[in-house]
Amino acid sequence: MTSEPEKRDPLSVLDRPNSYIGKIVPRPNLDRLMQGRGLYVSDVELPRMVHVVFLRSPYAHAKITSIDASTAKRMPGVVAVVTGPELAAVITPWIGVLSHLKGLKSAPQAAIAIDRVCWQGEAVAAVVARTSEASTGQARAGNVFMNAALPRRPPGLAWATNHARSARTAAWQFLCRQP
Amino acid sequence: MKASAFAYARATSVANALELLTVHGEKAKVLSGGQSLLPAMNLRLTAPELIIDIGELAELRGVVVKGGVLTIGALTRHADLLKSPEIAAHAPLLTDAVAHVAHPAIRNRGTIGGSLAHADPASELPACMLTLGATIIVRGPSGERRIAASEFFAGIYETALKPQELLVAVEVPVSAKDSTHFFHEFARRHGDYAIVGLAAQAVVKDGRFADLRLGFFAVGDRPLLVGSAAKLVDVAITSAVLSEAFSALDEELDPLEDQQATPAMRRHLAKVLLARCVSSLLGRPDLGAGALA
Amino acid sequence: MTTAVAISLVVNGEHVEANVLPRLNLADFLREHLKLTGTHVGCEHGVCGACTVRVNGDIVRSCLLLAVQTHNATVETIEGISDSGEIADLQSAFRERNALQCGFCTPGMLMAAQDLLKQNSSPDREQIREHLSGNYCRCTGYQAIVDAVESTARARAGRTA
Repeated sequence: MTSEPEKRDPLSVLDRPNSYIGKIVPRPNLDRLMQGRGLYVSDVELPRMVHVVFLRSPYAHAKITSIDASTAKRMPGVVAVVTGPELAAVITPWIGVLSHLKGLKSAPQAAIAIDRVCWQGEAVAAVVARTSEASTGQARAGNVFMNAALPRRPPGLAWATNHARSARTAAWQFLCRQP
Repeated sequence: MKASAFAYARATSVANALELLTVHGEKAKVLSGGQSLLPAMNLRLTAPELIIDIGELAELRGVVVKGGVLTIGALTRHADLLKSPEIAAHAPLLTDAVAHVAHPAIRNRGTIGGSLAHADPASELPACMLTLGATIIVRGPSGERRIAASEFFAGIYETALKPQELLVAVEVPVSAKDSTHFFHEFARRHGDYAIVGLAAQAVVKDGRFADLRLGFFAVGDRPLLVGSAAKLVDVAITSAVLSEAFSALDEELDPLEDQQATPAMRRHLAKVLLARCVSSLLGRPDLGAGALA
Repeated sequence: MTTAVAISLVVNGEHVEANVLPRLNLADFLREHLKLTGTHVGCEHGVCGACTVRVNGDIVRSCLLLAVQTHNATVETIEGISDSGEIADLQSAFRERNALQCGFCTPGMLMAAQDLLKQNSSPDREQIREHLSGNYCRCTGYQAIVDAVESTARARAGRTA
C-alpha cells in the first residue's frame, strides 16, 4: 500500500538544518574575554553610579520575622536599604518557563526574599551606597532577625566552605542543625 | 566584601615592628603573608585598627642549618619551604605537608610565622611543629622567648603569643637519618581546609616502631600530639594492638562539629589515618584501613 | 584611618604612582584606579582564583594583597601578559578547545596555567589539575581547560625539542 505524501510537521528550531545541534558554534567573543577585555556587570562604570551589596541568609530555610535597617540607613554614603516587600511593588517574581515545552514553569521566585528564605545565600536585603566600601559596612550594620526552620530532611553532605571559622559562624551552623 | 578602614605602618626593622607592637599591641595585627589575615578582614571577622606590615623584613626570611638545628625565619613563604633543599634533606615531613597548604598563589605569599601565629586548628604546619618537636622563637618588649611547640597552641586562633610580641623564627631539630615520615589529610577538594589530618614522624627498626610521633590536626581546637602513639612503640603490631591504639586514640580526641564533619566522622577518619600511617611506615598492607572494624 | 599612602610601582611595564587608602586591596586598585578590569573579583577571600595576578614574577591573589604592599613591586595582569604575546599559544589552545564559556575565570586560569608551564614544561594531567586547583570554573567542568593546557605544554616541548 502506498501512502500519500504526508504533510510535514513544521521543524522545531532545534531540528532545522541550520540548528546548532551537532555543530561547533563559532565564538567571536573568545579572544576579547581571554585578553581581559570582557565587560562584566562589575566592570561597568557609569557617571554617579551607586553600589549595591546584598545581605544574604546564612540559613537554608528560615522565616524572616523582621528587618531593622534604621541604623544602616543613617550611615554616611547610604542611599537606600531595600527589602523584599518594598521591591515586590516594582518587580514581579521570576517564573521560569521553557519555550519549547509549553505548560512547564517554575515556582515564583522573588528578587529579594519576602517572608521566608528557601536557600542558604538567598538575599534578604539590598544596601545601596555611594561607594562599595560603604555598602559593605552598612550590610553588616543591618539587623535581620530570622527563625531558622527545621530542614525538611537532615542536612545531607556536609557543606564544605573555606570561610575562616568563627564563633558566630559556629553558632549559626549549630542553630541550623537543632532537631 | 571589603575590609573596614585601618591605619597602616610598614615596619623598617624587627626593632621598629616591636616598638609599634609595644605601643599598639591590642589594637594591631601583624601583616606577614596576609593569606589568613586578609580573608578574615575581608569577611569582617576581624577589624584591627592598625596593620603592622613586616613584609620588608628580609632578615626574617630564610632557612639555615647549623649544629643539628634548622632555623626557619618567620617570613619564609610556603613556596620557599617547598623548594628548599635544606628542608627536603632535614625535615622532609614539612616538604610533604606544605604541598597540601591551599594553592600555589597562596603559597607564594603565606608564611610559616603567619600560619603558626594564626593557629587555625585545621592547618598543617602547627601539627608538623608538634611532631617535629619544634621551638618557636618570639621577641617582645622583655626580650626573646623560646616556646616549645607543645606549649604554643592554646585553642582556636589562640597561641602563647602576647599582643606585644612578634614570632621571629622556628627551630626544628634536624630529622634523624633513619627516620621516616607520613603525611596525609582528608579534604573535599585539593587545597581545602582539612577535615582531619596526620603529620607523623617515626624511626622503624626490624619491623617495629622505635619511635613514633603522631601530630593530628583538624581534630579539635588545636593540633594534638597523641599519647596513644606509645601503644605502638617497641611492640610487634598486630590488628589487636592496632585496635587498642584506636581505642586509646578515641579517648584522647575531642573533635569539633562544623559544616564539614561531625565529631563521629572525625573520629573515624582519624583512625583511618592512623591505620594508613602504620601500614605505610611498616610496609604492612595487612594493617591498612581494611583492618578497621 | 583616612590617610592615603603614596605608592610607586610598575604595572604591565608602565610606571604608576598613586595615593591609596591602606584598606584598598590590589584587585580593587587595578580595577578601579587603573581600569584594568581583566582581573576579576569573585570570592574576596582567596579561594576562587579569579583575581590571580603576578607580583614580582609570582602568581598571587590580588584580593589578599593590599595595594600599599606593592610599593616598588612589579605587577603583571592578564592584559599585560596577553598584550606581550607571552600566552598567545595558551589563548589559541583555549580557543580551539573551547575552554571557556562565560570567561569570568579565564584570566585567572591563564595566569595559573602559564605559571605552571614556566615551572614544569611537561606536566601530566594530575599536575595540571593540582596547579589549577585554586581556580574555580562554574561553566566548563574543567576538562577542556586541562586539555588546552596539556596541548600547549606538548606544543611548547615540541618546539624546543
